[in-house]
Amino acid sequence: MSIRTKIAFVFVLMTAVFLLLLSVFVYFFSLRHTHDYFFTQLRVRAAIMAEHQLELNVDKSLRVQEIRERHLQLLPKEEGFFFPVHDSLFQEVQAAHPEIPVWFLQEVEELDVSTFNSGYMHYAGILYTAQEGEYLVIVRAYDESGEDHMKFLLNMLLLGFAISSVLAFVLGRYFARHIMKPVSAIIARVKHITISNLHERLPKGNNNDELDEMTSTFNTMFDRLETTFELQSNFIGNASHELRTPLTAILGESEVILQSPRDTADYIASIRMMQREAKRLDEITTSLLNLSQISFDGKKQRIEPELMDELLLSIKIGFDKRMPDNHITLLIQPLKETEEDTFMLPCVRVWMELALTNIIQNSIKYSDNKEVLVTLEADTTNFFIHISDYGIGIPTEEIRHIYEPFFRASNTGKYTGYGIGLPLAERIVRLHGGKMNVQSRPLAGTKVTLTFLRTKG
Amino acid sequence: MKNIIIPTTFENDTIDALKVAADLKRKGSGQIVLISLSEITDSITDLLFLSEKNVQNVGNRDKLFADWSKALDDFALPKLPIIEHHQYGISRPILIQLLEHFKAEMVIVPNSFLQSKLFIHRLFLRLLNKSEFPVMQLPDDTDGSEEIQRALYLGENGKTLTPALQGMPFHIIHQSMVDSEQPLVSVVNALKINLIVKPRVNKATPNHDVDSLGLPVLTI
Repeated sequence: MSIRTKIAFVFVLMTAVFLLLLSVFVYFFSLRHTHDYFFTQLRVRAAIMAEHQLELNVDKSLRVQEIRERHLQLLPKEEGFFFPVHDSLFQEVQAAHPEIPVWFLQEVEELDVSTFNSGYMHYAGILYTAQEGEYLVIVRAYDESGEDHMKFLLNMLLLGFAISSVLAFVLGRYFARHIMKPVSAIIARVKHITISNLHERLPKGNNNDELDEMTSTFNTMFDRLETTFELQSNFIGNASHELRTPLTAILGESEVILQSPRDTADYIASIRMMQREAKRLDEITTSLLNLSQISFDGKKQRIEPELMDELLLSIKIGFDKRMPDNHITLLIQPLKETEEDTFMLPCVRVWMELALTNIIQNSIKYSDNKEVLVTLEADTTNFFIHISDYGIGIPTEEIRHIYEPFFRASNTGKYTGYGIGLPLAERIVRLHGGKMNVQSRPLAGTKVTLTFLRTKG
Repeated sequence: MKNIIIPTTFENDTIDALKVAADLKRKGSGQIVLISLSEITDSITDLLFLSEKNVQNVGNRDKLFADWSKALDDFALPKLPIIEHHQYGISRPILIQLLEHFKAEMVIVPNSFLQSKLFIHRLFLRLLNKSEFPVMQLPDDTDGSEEIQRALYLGENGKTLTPALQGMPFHIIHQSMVDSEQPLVSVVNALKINLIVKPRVNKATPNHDVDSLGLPVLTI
């Protein structure tokens, strides 16, 4: 069942319940009113009838009869009964009129007046005190017009209920369609978007309602999809290119060397060259493996708390060993004695070292071994690692691509690299709950900021 | 989206301020607001606004914008929208409202404005220094070719930098990280500092003769 029909049904159900309750209310109180009205009539008639029948004064009795005949119509099936009050009155009445209940007689005796009805046959009883004693006067009549009215009212209510329900269903469907129209439009639009037109977005409404929220959610989802898609296609393209370059070199070299017999020196040179290319291939596949491992097996490594200042120092020592002419300046904010674990970060040491080494190495590489400044400092909630250089920078329009594997900025032509280090570093930082922010000026330098949450302790 | 305010006399060194501003805004979006000021007398008549001394230096202004569009291309700076605002008279509440209205993130004061002898300019500076907005004062002799790369933060030992400052495109070095025995000048030279950041203090900071370094000073 579609939501549209569901909404219509809910609407109908709600209307029906309300209408039903209202109808019952109206019918019930109308019925009571009709009965009350008729009882009043009956009580008056009982009094007049008693006065007429039991009055000993003939003149008065005749006058009452005259007034009665002139002004009061006989009600349908109107009858009156008179019983002198004595001890076995109830039995006498019950014997004559078994349909009259005992409670009615008791009530008359107690309150002087009472009424009851069975269906539209109404009974009114009064105690009348005549000269020769007390009488129980019972008058009954059939309320034809009341019955008629109530039947008409019932029919009208039933008819109204039926018509309203149908109307509610029709209106409900109409409104439901009206409400669901934007949803249907969104569905149609979303169905329309496929791989070939992934750049298309849903039109934005400006009502700021749930539907707009849905639209923007869809749009951000499409953004992510498109990014992932682009990333993947870029990755495949770049990866195959990177892998093929050394392979082509090896194949070409081997073909050339096999064409004719050569001397040993040529073979050695050729094999050296192949070895170099094979090493390059190995490097690329190793870093690719690293990348994919960090992407997928994030939970397998052991996470232990490490002091970042210590880690940075050991990285610096490592660089000093490998390239003694480096210009890394490492500055660390001095800590108070009580805050010795400020720079503590639960991390996989090998990975973190890899990430930081990658970033610092990039800084050295792209600044032609100019000075690289690394600082470590903390505020109350975070600590920051800043790494800045005087390098070639990243062109402003390319900075959003730097985390894509194999992406290399347009100004990196003369430097060797595969475009894996920075995406890898970013992924590692992100896995450790940190944020990486790169700010760069072309030809002037780049500043990388890593922000980590301070461990509460 | 926060903006950078530059009070200006339309002298040439406004270009330097614009460069610094555009450089700071390289990554984010935002606007640059140029504010020029003129005095207002106590009595107000329509004729007042016709008087000669309040007329803007239109020639300088046009030249400034021509130079700026050239500089944009020369230095590959982001083309930020520039808003101009002319203010008649200033007072503390007006200044605060002005800065809040333009969503000021920082005020960059060119040297010509710093050196200006006009009362309204002096008043503006005095009020600005008492406000809570970060103010960067540019020195006299910036050649304008050098971007701000490294800043030295002169603050008390325990005081940490705000996240907003951490996100700036220049690398801030906390004073506590460097050897405090050395004189400031040698620290600045050794680390190639080209901006001094100092917190706003009521009492004059002793022994830091910051002004003599010839560097821009950012007061926060």
